[in-house]
Amino acid sequence: MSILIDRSTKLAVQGITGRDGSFHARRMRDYGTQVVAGVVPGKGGQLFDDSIPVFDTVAAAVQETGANASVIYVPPRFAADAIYEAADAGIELIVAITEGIPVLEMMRVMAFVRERGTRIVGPNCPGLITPGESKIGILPGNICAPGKVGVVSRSGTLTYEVIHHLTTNGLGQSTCVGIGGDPIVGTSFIDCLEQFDTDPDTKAVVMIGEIGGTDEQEAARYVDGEMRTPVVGFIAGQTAPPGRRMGHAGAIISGSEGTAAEKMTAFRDHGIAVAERPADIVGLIEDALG
Amino acid sequence: MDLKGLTVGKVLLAPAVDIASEAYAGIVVDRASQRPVMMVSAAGGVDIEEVARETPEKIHKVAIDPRYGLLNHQAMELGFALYKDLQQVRQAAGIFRRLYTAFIAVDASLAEINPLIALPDGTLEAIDAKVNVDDNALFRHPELAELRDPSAEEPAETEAREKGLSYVKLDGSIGCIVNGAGLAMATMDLIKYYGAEPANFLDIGGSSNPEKVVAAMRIILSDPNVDAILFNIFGGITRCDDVANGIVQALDQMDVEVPIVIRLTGTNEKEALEILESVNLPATNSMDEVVRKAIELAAAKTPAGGPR
Repeated sequence: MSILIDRSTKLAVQGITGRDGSFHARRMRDYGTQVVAGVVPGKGGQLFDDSIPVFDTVAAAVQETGANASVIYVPPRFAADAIYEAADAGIELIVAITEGIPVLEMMRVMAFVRERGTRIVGPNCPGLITPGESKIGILPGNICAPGKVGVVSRSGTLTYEVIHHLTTNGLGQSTCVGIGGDPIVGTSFIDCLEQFDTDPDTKAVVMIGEIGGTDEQEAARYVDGEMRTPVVGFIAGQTAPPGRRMGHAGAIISGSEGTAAEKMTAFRDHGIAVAERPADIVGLIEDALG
Repeated sequence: MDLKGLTVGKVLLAPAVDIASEAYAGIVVDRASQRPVMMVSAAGGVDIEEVARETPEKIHKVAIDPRYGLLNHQAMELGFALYKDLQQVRQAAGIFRRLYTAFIAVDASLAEINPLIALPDGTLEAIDAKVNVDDNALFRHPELAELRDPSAEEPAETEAREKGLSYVKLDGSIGCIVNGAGLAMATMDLIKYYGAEPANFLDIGGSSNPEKVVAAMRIILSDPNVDAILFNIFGGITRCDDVANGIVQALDQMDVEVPIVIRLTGTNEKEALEILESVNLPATNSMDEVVRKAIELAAAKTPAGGPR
């Protein structure tokens, strides 16, 4: 079992002929993801790699192939339009990899998709993977292994680091989700925790947060109040200075809000074991699994 | 004249006014509600964060649906939170609607009037204001991008931005070059965990070509506090051999007098290790190991891989 995606997920790649889109479409297909369609306006009717049909619109791709998920590799200035289009075409899960979408644009997008019941993962995220079944996005499949640990994170390469530690220590993953580093993202920690808690095969969860905002604090309260599955936490940015954006648009301490110390305290106060180093997550997960 | 370490180049002079009362009005991007939120407080002219912390009941907030904008009754409600006189409420509501229009027009992440004052005759006036613009939206506001004043930044940070690198200078001695913001922060934290201080945050980004690595090395070395350079690369989109080639090119182009320690793992790791071996630079695949090594060499100041 898994959350959000599995081997039955049918994926359309928006921007499949671009540099990133074509590279990762092949990687996803080679991993085992059912890549059923590409969408590029003006290139409808072509075949990508002689096998994947390309459509002018997401609606046509859905109608012809039954795609129920889409991944967005288009540049920031076109990304919001791509999301609106996918939501309007009835796509259930939209994974937005694009970094750099203006935050006010994303607010309008969120208001639009909420009404349609569409789920967005991202933007500015590495995507998600259910090891051995399907991956959507840019996470390297070779570092993952099937298993019973759920991973949810605001980061990209830091997530790889943690997955790498888990896998090399014999701890496989049910699903790993990168929710994205922007101030406004479609899927929150709590959304993922809720799903992991109802997945019978996820026996423990790693939650990787960072400075900025209060998502981790709210997630900690949720874990305490609602969850049965044990959760282990890590927060990046203990040494980050206030008021400076640390790469991710959302990774900024505003005033005294959103510090790593505050988030780590919230985790501990709500019964989440906190790793001091990424490597320590392994021991804490082993403890949680008993 | 200097203010908080920044040289003041221009001053706006405004006529002095008599102040009967001071208020605060601001719009922020609210991450939790995923909407713009407008806040007003009768406690104006002071640090609004302090008011939010100490006396949150003195702040009145309205969440705005970005599809419809600040509605008239919302603007009036905010006005009534500050004033009793209907004329003043109406004038305030007009100011709030224009503030929202400006907030949207420039893709702001924050727009505030502090203080919004009442003159003795009751007329309202904004006598100071602040706007933060979303960096991600600058591509559609070239006129605003032009206003950036590099003299108010660290020269190294300006250079980093021009090269497409994300860099923040800090006060420690271990220079870090990392791919990915989260991993870069975790690397800084691990340096601190092992008892030293990071000299910077530096994210070379995803598809990093060798030139970016050369630029990153130059930026790090411009900081005289740096006693060692640490690379922490987890290859995904980033190819480890690109980074290794960048390190070799950088060593050809500049004199590096501090030790370099390298951690590479992931995409094209094997090729990268061969490239580094050819110039006598050892690499590890463990993040803990490379951090401990960097701290040890920085303390001893011995170049890695012997004299070059």
